[in-house]
Amino acid sequence: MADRELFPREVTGNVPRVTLTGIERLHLEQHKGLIGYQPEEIVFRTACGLMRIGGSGLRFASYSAQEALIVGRIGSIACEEAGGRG
Amino acid sequence: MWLRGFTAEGLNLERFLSGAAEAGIRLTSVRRHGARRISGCVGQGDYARLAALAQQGGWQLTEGAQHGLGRLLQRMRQRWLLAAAVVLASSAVFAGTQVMWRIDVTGSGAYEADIRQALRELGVRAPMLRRQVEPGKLRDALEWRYPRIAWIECGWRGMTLEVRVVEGLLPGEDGAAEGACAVVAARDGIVERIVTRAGTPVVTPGQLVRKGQVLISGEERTGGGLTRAVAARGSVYARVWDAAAVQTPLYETETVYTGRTQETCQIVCPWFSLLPDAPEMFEHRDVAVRELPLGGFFLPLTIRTETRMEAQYTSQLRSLEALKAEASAAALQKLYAITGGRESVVDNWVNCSIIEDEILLSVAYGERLMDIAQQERDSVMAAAE
Repeated sequence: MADRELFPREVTGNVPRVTLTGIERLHLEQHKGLIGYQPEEIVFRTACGLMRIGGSGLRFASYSAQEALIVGRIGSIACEEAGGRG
Repeated sequence: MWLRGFTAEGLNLERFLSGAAEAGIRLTSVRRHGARRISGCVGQGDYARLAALAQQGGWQLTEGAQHGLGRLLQRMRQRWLLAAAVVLASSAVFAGTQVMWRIDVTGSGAYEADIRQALRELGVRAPMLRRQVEPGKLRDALEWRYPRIAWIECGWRGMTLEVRVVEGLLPGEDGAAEGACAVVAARDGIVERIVTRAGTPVVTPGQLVRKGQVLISGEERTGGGLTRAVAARGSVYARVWDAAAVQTPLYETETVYTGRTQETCQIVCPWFSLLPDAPEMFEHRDVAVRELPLGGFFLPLTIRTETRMEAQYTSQLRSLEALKAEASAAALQKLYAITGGRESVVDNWVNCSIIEDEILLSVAYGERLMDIAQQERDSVMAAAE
């Protein structure tokens, strides 16, 4: 409780942070692993559930345990709560 | 910067990527090629760990080409001559900028050769290393050597040493070296204003001066009541007058025709006439001539028709007013030619008088304000000429 009052939520809550620049660059921070990777769809596990990134020609400009930089034509971003589609 | 390309083949490649990420391996340019193959780049130092991970998980990892700086170095190794040439050229350019290649001396006029000689004596000659040249010390040395020069600057313009000189004009130079002289009047006039640059003025505004009269003496007082000889300089503006005269006859000759005429016709060639001339009938006459080529003959023959008109000449006294106006205009025209235009003339007038009962004399006077100062030695040389 005390931490939540003093620090930003994305730092203490371990929630994913998505930064979309245009429709060709997406920066994802604080993911929990890659579930699926296809040029048309990338699926990440996050603290909020599954995050699906759809589009075409998707590829990783950079990928590490903490963050991923996805480039290509991004068409959709969808989040599914853990345990089912939301 | 040091990157190695790789290709991974197998099933469940997402687990391979996640495993690499959990192992702290950063991957870049990851791209999927079909269901069972991905490619990417990994740091050179992490490749071994990635290969171990792939082996552990049953994926097939193939090493690819180098990327980044490593690729550049690999290419440079294959083209080592090119790389060596680039390094050599860069070194040569850098070395070239450390050398003084030229010396430019500007504004020195007649001193240029002497200044260059002075630089050589000081050990400065092109080409030489720039760090061996100290512009500040050069400037001091040149100023000491040439005290009459007003200003010297030594500096760099790229790889050129630039020496800029401004020669000073010292008023009242010491007359002992070149000879003292005074300023005299180049012509008569009444002084209006005196501007003294060297010497001592001996005339005052409003004073009438004659040509050759001393206006500024070649002497100056120094401390202790002594005087020294100088070459006097200055400007003395004075009112001067110019004159221009024109003579016009009072009588004009008028021609009156009596009405009697005589016509003659001749055939002439450039050397002689084919027919004799008709005798003259009139004492005074005017002649009108008409010439036509004689056609049909390929010879230089001309038909010349003369009409002689008897005339009487009489002297008529011209209108004095008209004559004065005409003569005055002519005199003023002549005056402006002397003064170089009417713009410099502040006042002008014309006097007319009759001389010898037959001639009208018109004299135009013009007043100007001009500098009549002239150095004495110049006036002596002008008089000798």
